[in-house]
Amino acid sequence: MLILIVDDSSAARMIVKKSLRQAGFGGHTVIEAGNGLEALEAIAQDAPDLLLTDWAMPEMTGIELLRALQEQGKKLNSVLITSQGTDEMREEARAAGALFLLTKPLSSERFREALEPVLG
Amino acid sequence: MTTTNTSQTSTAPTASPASATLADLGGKYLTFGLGDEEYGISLMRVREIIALMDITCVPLTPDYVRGVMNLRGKVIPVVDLRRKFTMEATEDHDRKCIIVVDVEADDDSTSTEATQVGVLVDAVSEVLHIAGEDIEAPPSMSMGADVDFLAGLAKARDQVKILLDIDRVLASYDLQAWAEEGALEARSDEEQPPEEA
Amino acid sequence: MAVALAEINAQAAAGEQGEVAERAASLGVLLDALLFDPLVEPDDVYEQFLFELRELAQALTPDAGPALGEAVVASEEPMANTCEGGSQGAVPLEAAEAAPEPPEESGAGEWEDDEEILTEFVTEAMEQLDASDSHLVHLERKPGDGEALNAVFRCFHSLKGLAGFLGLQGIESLAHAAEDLLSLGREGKGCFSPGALDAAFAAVDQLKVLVGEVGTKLAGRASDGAARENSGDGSDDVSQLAEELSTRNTAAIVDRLRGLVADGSWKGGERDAEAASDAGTVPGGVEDAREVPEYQPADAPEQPAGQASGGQDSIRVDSERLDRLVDMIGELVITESMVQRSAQAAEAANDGGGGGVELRRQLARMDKFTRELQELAGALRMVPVRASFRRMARLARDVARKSGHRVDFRLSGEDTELDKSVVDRIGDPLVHLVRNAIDHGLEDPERRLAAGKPALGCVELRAYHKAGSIRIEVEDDGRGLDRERILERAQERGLVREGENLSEREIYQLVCRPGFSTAENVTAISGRGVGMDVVKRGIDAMGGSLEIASRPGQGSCFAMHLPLTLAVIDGMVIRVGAERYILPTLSVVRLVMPEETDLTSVLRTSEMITVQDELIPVLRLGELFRVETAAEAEPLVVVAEADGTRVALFIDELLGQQQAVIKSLGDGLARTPGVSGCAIMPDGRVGLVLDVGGLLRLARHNPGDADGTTLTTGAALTI
Repeated sequence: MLILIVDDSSAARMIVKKSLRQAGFGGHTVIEAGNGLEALEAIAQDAPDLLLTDWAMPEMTGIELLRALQEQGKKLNSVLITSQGTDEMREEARAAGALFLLTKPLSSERFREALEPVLG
Repeated sequence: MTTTNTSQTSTAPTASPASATLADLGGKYLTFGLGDEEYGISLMRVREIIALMDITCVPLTPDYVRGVMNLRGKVIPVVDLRRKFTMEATEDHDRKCIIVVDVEADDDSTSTEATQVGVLVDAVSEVLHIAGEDIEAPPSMSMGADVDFLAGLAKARDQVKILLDIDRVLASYDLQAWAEEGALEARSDEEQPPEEA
Repeated sequence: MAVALAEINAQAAAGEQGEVAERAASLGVLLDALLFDPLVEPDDVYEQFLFELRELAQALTPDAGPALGEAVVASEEPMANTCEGGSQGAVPLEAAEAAPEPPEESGAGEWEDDEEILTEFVTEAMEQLDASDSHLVHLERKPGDGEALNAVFRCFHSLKGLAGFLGLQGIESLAHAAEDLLSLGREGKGCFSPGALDAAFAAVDQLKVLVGEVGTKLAGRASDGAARENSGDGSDDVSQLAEELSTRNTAAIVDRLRGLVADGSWKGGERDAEAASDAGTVPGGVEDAREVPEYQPADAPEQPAGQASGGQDSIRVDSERLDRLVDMIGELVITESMVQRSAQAAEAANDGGGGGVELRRQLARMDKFTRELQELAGALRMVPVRASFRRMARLARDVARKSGHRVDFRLSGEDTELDKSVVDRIGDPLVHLVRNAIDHGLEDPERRLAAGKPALGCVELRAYHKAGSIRIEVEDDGRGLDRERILERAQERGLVREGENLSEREIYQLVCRPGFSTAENVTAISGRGVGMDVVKRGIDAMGGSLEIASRPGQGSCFAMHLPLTLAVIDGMVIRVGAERYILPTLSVVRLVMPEETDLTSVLRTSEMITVQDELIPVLRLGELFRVETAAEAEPLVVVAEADGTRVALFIDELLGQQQAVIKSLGDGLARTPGVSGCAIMPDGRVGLVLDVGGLLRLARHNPGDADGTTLTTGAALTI
């Protein structure tokens, strides 16, 4: 499967990748994007199977990215990663078509639990 | 001009001969002639062999520093091995070659790239595989300081090949020590610390 | 692993970067064509060189992959090398050369991972913190600006998250506290009180310290792979003490931030003009007629750091690799001219057939490409002065606060680009000039009002290109330089003789003399003119100059003229015996044909020559360098100058003028006295660049010595 990781911080992307590997999903192919706009392009070009995106990003936030995908009528398994998971945000995320909200800090167990149904 | 690129995947020894046993020294060697003698350098360290080309003298350097040359845009020093081993100088001729070797970068060097040095030899002979058991320890006496440069002696094709520890031959601290001394002397009568260039 | 690599942050706009990628792709095509063009002699060296060049070009552009038809990179690749699925996103390339790590989960592997992440974190955090500085400076002017507030908030927020993951508790708690403070501001839509701003500034400063510590540790660990277990290796008392101190500082700032959040004291809502003016800078819309310059959101043209790291506007490239590319392109140019020459020779030999025309056309095409490439390569090293300017904005704020002066600090021309080598060295001179302008150039608000000027002083920092060089100016509208006072002081110090007639320009230049100071009261920040000698020396070392203009009561302007790059010099190519050398044109005063009668021997050991009534010591390069020169040749004399001392160099011939790209002679030979470096000559050989200062020192040490007893004992030193 092809996983797209979106975060404006490349250190954060590294962390997500590491967590993925630790959770046992190292066999999947990972591509990256630095913001929502880049992500849209990558999605158009490479059609990833799973989108893991940060919420707070300049240019285009994670939630804006999901909404843009919705508008384009693109269905894509998407997970939002954020540090504060308020109910409000959860609702917003669901409305925008996200599978669920992952809150930081990310641990490999939580990653495994959460992503197993999607990637397993 | 011809270039021979040697494979970087060869199986010659990587460990420093100082800490390695003689058997570990087995591997592929590039052999070359210097006067009547045959020498060998671990092929792992050889980057390429080029024909003698224009070398620019650098003034006030030790005589074994032949100068610097332009290796595809990179400026590298060339050491005349004859002079380094205090052999008689000979006229340059067509068979003379420059062996470009990788030398270990100094610890304090900021460069992440390996340093390259050209070694001027009389003629390149061949690439030989020398088995560890064919290598003997260098004689520990009667050869003066030169013995430091030796990794071992190998018998191959009924001839003795002198295997060099090229890092020691080219140890840049030789040059650096010299340069510091020279620079120091030159600046000793400066009242102010020299400005950065 | 590559830790703390020297980096070039080519902050090109997205469009420019696309262009680079495009050109690089076409370079690939061109090189292919070259390799298979039957008209190009398949010279081994040339071929290999072209291969290498192409690889380098590819490595420089994340786009090159897709352009060549490979889009996706597998997850087993080293992380930083993973391509962004073919988007134009820039990936940091510095880790591209690291060996691909095995995907195994061994302890060591994990650790390597973290080191890589930490390295990335340090770079990213520093960029973001720098950007935050400038956002905060802006917020001080326009406290209500939501965009700037958001940007700073994001910085703290993302730092908090990353530090939390990486187990950097100090950074996490500090960033967290700062984030809380800012989030109050975001929710309340209010504006910052000076107290809150100060706390935020302090948080940024301390975060820089903490992140810097992480970087230092990483670097230390990289150099010593064995000592990797605990970052806080307690064996070193000094580092432990330093750590304790910084922990205490961090705690103090965290308390301060929390205190502010708790009592909500920042929540003034209304702007407190009085308090803001304390801060030294202007609050938006004050009584002054002077317009506060519109905020250029740092995000707009150049993207804040947060994006720079993951975004589309910059590529981070190992500068060594970049230098290598530039070298290779230089070499390509030389090779090309050699091919041209041999083609011409071949044509002349067989009177040209039908093929000649075609060959000429091909070569002309190639010539055009190589020249374009060369320009492009030069442009790759160019970076905007923005980052340096931003730091000055922060400095200006701090200096204004301490001195009690009020300043409207303006920047212009931040996009002006110059070579990284120059940018790296303008920092110190700029700091001095900006400090002096605010601390000494500007008067107290009261004095300004008394002089009929607005209380708010104006200091402008400008950069612009002019005639192939760059000008950076610091101008203030303060009191101006006091000519009488400068002259008086110079006479006291013996810098000027009584009755000496100096032009205005010369008088101002006196402040750059070492030890000169006209400060009536030396303040904590800087004495008048203190550091000006440092400024001057820094500029001189770069081959630039400093112009000073001033009008009493109206202000001063200090203008630096700098070369666009330090990598290229104008040189005179001279011949001594069979050797050629390059003499920097900057150090050449004049060229003379000496007459026998001009020469004087001194104590039979040294010579002097009279040039235009001036007695100058003679240095025979041939003798000094032990180069054989033909006795019958008519020598030429180049009068050269370094550090204010002149010397007459005897040479055999002047071969011409030339621009030279200076290279180092390498670790072993770099300290050769009298030689500052080398350059590849148009014929492909190496030419040495002479350093007149070094020659002078050599000669002083070694007067008239021609028998080689002192310096040329290298052979004896070693074996």
